[in-house]
Amino acid sequence: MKGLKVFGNENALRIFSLMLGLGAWEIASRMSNTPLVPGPQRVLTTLVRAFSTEGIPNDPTQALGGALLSAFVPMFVAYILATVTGISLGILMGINRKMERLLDPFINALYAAPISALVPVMIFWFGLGFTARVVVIYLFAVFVIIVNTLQGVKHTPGDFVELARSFGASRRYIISHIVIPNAIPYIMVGLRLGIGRAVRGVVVSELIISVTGIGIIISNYSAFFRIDGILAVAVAIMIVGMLLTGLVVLLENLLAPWKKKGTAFQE
Amino acid sequence: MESPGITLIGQRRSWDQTVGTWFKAFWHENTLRFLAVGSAIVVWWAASSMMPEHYAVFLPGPQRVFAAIVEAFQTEGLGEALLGALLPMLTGYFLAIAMGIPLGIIMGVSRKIECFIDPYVNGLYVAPLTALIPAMIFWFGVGFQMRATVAFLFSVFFIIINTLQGTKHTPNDFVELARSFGASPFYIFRKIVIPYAIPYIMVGVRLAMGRAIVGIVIAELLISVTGIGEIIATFSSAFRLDGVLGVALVIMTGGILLTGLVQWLENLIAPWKKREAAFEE
Amino acid sequence: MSTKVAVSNVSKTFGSNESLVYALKNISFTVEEGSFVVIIGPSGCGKTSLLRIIDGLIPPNGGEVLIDGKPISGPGPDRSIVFQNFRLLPWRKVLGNVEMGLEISGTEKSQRRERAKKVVDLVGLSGFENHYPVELSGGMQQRVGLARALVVNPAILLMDEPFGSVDAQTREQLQTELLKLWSKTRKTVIFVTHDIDEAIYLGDKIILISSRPGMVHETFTVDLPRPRWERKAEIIESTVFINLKKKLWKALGLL
Repeated sequence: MKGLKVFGNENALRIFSLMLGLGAWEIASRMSNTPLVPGPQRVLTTLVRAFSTEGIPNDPTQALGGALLSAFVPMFVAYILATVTGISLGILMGINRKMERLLDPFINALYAAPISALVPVMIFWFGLGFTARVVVIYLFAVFVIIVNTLQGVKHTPGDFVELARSFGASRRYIISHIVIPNAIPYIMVGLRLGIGRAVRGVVVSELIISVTGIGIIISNYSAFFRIDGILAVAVAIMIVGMLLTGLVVLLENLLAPWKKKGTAFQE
Repeated sequence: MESPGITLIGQRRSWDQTVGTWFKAFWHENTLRFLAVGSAIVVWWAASSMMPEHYAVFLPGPQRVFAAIVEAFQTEGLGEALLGALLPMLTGYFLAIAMGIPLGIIMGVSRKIECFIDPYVNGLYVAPLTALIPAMIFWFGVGFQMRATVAFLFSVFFIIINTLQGTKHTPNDFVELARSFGASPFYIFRKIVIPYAIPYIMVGVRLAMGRAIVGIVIAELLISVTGIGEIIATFSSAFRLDGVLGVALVIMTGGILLTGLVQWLENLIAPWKKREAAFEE
Repeated sequence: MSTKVAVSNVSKTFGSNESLVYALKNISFTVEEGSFVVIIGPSGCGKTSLLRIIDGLIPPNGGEVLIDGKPISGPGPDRSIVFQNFRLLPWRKVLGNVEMGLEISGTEKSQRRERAKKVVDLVGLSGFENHYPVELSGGMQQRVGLARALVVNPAILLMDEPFGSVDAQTREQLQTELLKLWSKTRKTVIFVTHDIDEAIYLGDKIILISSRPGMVHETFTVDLPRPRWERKAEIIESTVFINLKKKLWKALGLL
């Protein structure tokens, strides 16, 4: 493509492609002229509108900002719980072989299984409120954290353990100064994946346990066939998700700076 | 665990001995696991029988849940509902594979095409597709087509991205090696790029199965007028936790079995040597 | 000079009963205090296991190791080991790595820092105290490994093919620096290698271990004057060096 030489680098190509795509979408939506195919411009305006109180049809008391906040509060709680319990359990299982064998059929099963199937059960036990949401999000996030932490602990290089022993280190020293620091990058991967799953948990719990907040907003838009509204909400959730993941990546860089520093010396 | 077929000294054992050793090793590794699961079921049963009358509905014992599962299959039509979910899911899934792998390969080979398409792929990869399911119910209704689309959308991006990763990252060393023998680009593509990419592709295929299952389950839960969702709603409104739990367990077991199947296939086709996958969810 | 280390009839076996394999068989030798002893042998002859047995990391299946006349029962503060693959903890900076032995033995923090800084200086890495291992070259990493072993002030320094993972030029540099350090501190050194030139250049005594099973094949005394780094060219071309090299070649060729 000769036109490529004009643009030069790859990011320009990406931006060009996006503009092309958005433009085509916008044109298509205007041409079709039904509310069922909203263009990007409409979605954007709806998104902005939704943050003010009059934005949501049929329910002037709901604003997207407040709904997002109230949706992510249980996520915050659940994620912290999942991190604390998940890492502890992962380390315990990694250090103690018996513990691992005892628990891992359950952990692996729940890691691979579709947790959403349990949401109706959770509703039964915990009703439709805050607790139910926290439990659901917790279950979404915790298993991936446990599994990755376990991996990190199990992959402690024998070389380092031998090194510590050559200085006469105790088992406690080895666990706190060798096993755990070595596991940190793995744990970080678990946390990053965990937050992705937690966001999914938020969406699922909001859709199914939809008494207040995002679930109701989506239902409202759905009832009025406002696809632009549904897309707007999806975009909002996506942005929040990306921000949260970005935070975890920041944390990752903070806690494991040695992984980022490339080789200063090339042999 | 070393292969039981060959001892240190190098003689080959007979097949019986090999299988026997495998069984011994299997039980040795797994007794504690079976014990754990077994005792969990026993504890569950004990706890449920000890529940005071008034609260009994909140913790049905394993026997009641099992009975409810049987009931769900016989009276409520769980079997048909499962099939009604499985078939569209597999359709969407295989379509995603059929379209995703070629697309991923094309993107991996051509940097220009990759840059052109990847903002969309990456954007949709992180998009909360779950939030779009209500929208899809409007666009496509509640039938086969809708479910297949859900499964397709949930799985396709994983397949594209993992295939892309595998195709892109063919080590230069190998390509240079082939070129030093005067190999044509077509040869390089067929004999080096593709084989190298296969483990990555298989990871994508495995993860995509997990995602497709998640998508279908959520879709089923939201569609309470038919299918599995209807069965759960029926049990729910009748306050039958044994039924709700039973169906949940059936779904989860199905999900585990399906992903396990794909995992087994992955190990068969491409034993995974890398430590970390290109993109784990 | 007294005997610092006495290896007495040490054996190491793998497997059991019918399939018993001897990695080391009835190894016996002594190391005088303050001397530099090199253990050489073909790959896989168990010399690495031998070093680990002397350090107390693995127990022998037969025989014992005596230090100052007393049998050992595990790793101790009197011995330090330097590994071939450096083994620097990637999440700690240079200083943190060097301090590790002192940390384990309970030395107080400010003292640790001071002692570590001194040794880092000694090995020629001042200025790099706050670098991560991944930012250093192979030669520099091994110097950190050496510093780490030296800071705990062991009487005996064990070195397991320490220069095997660096390029030839860095290796020669490190050999000279090691000799200089050793002449200053006069520790007892047991050095494992498979490089004949290195063995003769560095050692007072060379113990040749055969393979399968690992047994002491022959012991050679290195009759070259010290300090050697000041006259390296001369030494390498000397008849003593060349004859010893020929003898070792022959011995290794026979194995």
